[in-house]
Amino acid sequence: MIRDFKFALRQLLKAPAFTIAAATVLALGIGVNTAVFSLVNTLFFAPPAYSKANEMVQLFSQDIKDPKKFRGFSYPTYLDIRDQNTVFSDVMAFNLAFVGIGQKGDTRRAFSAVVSSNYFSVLGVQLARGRAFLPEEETPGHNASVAIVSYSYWQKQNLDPGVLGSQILVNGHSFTVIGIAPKGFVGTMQILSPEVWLPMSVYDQVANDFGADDKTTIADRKGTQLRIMGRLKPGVTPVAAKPALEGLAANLEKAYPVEQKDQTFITAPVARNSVSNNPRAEGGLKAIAPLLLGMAVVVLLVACLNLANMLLARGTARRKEMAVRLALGASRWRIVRELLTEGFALALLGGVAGLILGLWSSDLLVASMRKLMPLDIVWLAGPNPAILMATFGFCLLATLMFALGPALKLSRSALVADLKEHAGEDVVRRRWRFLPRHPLVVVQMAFSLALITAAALFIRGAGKAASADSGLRPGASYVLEVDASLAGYDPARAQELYRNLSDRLAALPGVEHATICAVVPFGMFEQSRKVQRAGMHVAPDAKPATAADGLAFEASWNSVGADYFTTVGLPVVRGRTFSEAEATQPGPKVAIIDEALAKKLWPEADALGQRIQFAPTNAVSADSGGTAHAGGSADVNESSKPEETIEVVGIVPATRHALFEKTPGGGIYLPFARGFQSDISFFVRFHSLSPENESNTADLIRRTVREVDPSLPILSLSTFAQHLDSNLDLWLVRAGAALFSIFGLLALGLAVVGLYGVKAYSVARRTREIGIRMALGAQAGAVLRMIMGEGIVMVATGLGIGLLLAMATGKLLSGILYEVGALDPVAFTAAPLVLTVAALIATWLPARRATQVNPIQALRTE
Amino acid sequence: MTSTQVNPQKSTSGGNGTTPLIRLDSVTKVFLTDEVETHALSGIHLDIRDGEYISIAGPSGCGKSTLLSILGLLDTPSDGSYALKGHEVANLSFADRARIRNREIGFIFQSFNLIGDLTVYENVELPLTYRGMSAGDRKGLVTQALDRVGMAHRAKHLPSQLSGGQQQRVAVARALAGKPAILLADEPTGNLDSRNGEAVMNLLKELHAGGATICMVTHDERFAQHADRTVHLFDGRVVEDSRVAA
Ligand SMILES: Nc1ncnc2c1ncn2[C@@H]1O[C@H](COP(=O)(O)OP(=O)(O)O)[C@@H](O)[C@H]1O
Ligand SMILES: [Mg+2]
Repeated sequence: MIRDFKFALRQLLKAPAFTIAAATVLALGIGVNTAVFSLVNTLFFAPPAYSKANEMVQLFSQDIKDPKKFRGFSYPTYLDIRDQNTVFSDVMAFNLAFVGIGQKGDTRRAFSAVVSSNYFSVLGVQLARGRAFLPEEETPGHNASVAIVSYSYWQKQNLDPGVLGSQILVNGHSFTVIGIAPKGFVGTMQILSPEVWLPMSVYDQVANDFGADDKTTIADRKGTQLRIMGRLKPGVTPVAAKPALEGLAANLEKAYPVEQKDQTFITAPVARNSVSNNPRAEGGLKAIAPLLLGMAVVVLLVACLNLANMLLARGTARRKEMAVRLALGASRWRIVRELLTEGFALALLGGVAGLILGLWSSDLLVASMRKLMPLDIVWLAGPNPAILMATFGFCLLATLMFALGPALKLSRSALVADLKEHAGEDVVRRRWRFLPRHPLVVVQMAFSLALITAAALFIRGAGKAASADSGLRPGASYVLEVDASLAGYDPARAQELYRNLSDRLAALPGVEHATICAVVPFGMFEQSRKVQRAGMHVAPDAKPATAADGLAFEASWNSVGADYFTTVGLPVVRGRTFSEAEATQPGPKVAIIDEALAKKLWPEADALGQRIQFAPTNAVSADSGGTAHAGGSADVNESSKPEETIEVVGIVPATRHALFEKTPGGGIYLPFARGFQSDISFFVRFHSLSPENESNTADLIRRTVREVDPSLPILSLSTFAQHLDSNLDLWLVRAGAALFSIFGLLALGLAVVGLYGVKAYSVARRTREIGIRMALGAQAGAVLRMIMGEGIVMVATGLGIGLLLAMATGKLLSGILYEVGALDPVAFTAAPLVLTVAALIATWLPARRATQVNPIQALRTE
Repeated sequence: MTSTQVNPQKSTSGGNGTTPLIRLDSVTKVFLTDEVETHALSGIHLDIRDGEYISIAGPSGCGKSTLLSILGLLDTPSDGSYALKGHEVANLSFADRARIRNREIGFIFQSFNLIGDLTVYENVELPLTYRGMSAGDRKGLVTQALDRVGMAHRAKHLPSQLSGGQQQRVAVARALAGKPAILLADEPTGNLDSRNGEAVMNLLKELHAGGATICMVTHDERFAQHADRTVHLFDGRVVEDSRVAA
């Protein structure tokens, strides 16, 4: 075997040009697969960075009446579950919180995890430095100002040992760093990592204040803030644990009939890429994994077909060698083995290059995502055993795909080496001459058409997504995001600060309007609430079917300043905007809703002047289409309670609130004073903005903020156009387009080079034939037509098969395409056109060379 | 040792006596390779009349094939003039030469040069196809040519299924099919055993008897006898041009 391998290497060294070309083709094919594998593996399959992950499950609180409904746990409930369950060896609770980390005025957004004290021990994780939280640091009211930071936080401090014991500022509060998480530990998700872990006792200090109206404290049994994960006792399966957990839930319901009403407990595997109350949150993302892998394997297949062709061509030249070896008594199996070994050596060569290429490109992809995410993305660059194994697997697969066929064919044809033929001449006696020569190239073309069509579909989607109409017309606006709570403001003082800042911004030279809002559409976060007609007291078991019966509708929620609608260019269709007084001081309850929600609530009548109310979260609601939340953020408004009724004072046009929201699902706007939130944004609309003074303008806004309060952190500042462009959903769509474009272009490039290769090779081998034809009076045009014609038959066949494949691919992708049909006519025109043009050039070049054959030289072989 | 025998013109066809089918005047061919000039042909004067059967002889490398290439418009002379049917063709474009080659010249090569991918029929048909002739017209000519060489029964065979002699007969049929003004044969028996060689030579002789104009390069003295005129080349020059009395 080793001798075979040495022999194979010698053969490869003898033909360095071939070896380099072949290894390059393989490196591309394998590199793509390694890159995709390392992403998909990390996201979906690699073992998490905590120990014995198979024992860990997440516990969910499910509504018995409506099994689709889930909610979080309160801290007291967590304690009960921890102490009373019989199936877990231990249970921990946590939630993620979006916080500001850093010094005053220099704060950045980061995720923190607020955790029970046993968090690290339940996960079986040893800290790199320092200690874990103590039980007393968990107790509500204790306000233990201690923190454990992530390894990458430590890395940003150059692994300074002094980090342990130093102070870290979270939301303006100072915490002492008591521990450092080990390298690669990212919490319960795969690559999205909290930067800091805080003890449960500080929950109320740092947790998000979304929907401040109905905030419950961590000690409140009504709360639903926490996620619970547990480690099953050895030998206990999730199925076995089920009755015990149901019993526990029933007991708790008996003890707390109000808080635990209709709640039962179920387990599910720990979600890898999100943190949610809902065990089915991750389906969509995971569906993409096989698609990505599949496409990558197709690229490898095209690369292998390409290589198989090269090997066949090379094999024709080596036929004599084979014949001699067979004549000397080598068995056919031996020759096949040698050829396969040679192929495998080649594959390993390509595999090493592909590994480097793949790791490098997956790092690039992650880096591009990191720029957009306010989260720490922990990506362990470099090979790991799984990636090495996979790459080795790809090498084996590739060897079979590209070397086996040619090896069998060559070892057979060598037996019947025909002496009558001119040495080295390509005498093909094809029985079915109407079939295209070189079926391998045809198959390559077909697959590459499928891939570039997929790419075209994604590019179309990215184009549509990039130009998606937000429905807003904010003109030349800046979006400024600040959070006064990060500078230690309480809501009342923050309100004051924001009013002050809003006035200052509006007074800046060149500014038309400035307004505050809680949510910027198409941003990282959306908030939604259920809205129903006022005065509805729907019985808990009732299933209202219409708005009149009390059916509630999920609506995008925002709280805005008086000038919001003017600033963002939303005309009030009916009614009025909020008054300055309504926007700044809590007054009578009023709301503006959009036409979509108005239509849902009062399909026949006018919603203006009617009264509405927020429905309890567990109210029956119509399923609203497409809501995608970025990241694994805390859920919003988990426990909004029905409150006083709200008067609809205005109706505005419906707009989309997120890229993935296909049609506006309905929206409700409250005056800011009635929907206070500390993390807010200002729209600052200028008369005009020229690109030259963009940086000046940004500086002006920054200076203004600093003048108002130097300690107020600016969380982001960009033009509205930039805001739209940095949308995470848009990144997803674009990343998809980029990935598929890479797949498509690689496959196209390989197929076209393959086509060029066989054409050039066949022209070279057919020089004599072409010379004869010329001697017989063939014009240059006739020769060109002949060679092109054969190429065109190949291209046409490839296109035909490829279109079918492309249609199938389109269908397969239709679920993840952005507003593009599976058979989008533009994509299905552009892709074949690109392939055809490229293929025609690839055949035209050798065909033109054929016309330059000198017949005398071609014939002078005697 | 130049001896030129001038014999009375023997006219086998109705060609007019004043304009020869082919007239080469002071044709030279110089090859430039690696700064070395090879004078393959120097000052060739040669008239070929309609219906003549000329054999060209001479040692290897004396320029026989070069002369045939120029006659066949595969190559152009470096200097001098070449008149075919009274028209100057020495400096025509590639396309014009291809067209004339297709209509007026029939090539027979030493190594047959049939196209392995095509059947006998298709090989013979090829020059007619390049002429843009309709399939129906081609069929008549191909059948006629194959009949002429006695290969009609092998029309559907591939060249590799034929013996060398049969292949060369197909090649002759291909050269004939378009009824060219002249057949050019470069050592047509070089790759054949003597029995097959003789058969091909007899075929050429019959064609000549039927009125064909033939210019053939051969080493073999026996076959040179078939021709009614032998041109001896040496070092790119005509050193002897002898006619044998019929
Ligand atoms: N394309 C060419 N380039 C350079 N020299 C050539 C070329 N063709 C022929 N020659 C030279 O011209 C001379 C005549 O060649 P050729 O006509 O083939 O001789 P013959 O057919 O009589 O054996 C030889 O010296 C040969 O080497
Ligand atoms: Mg010669």
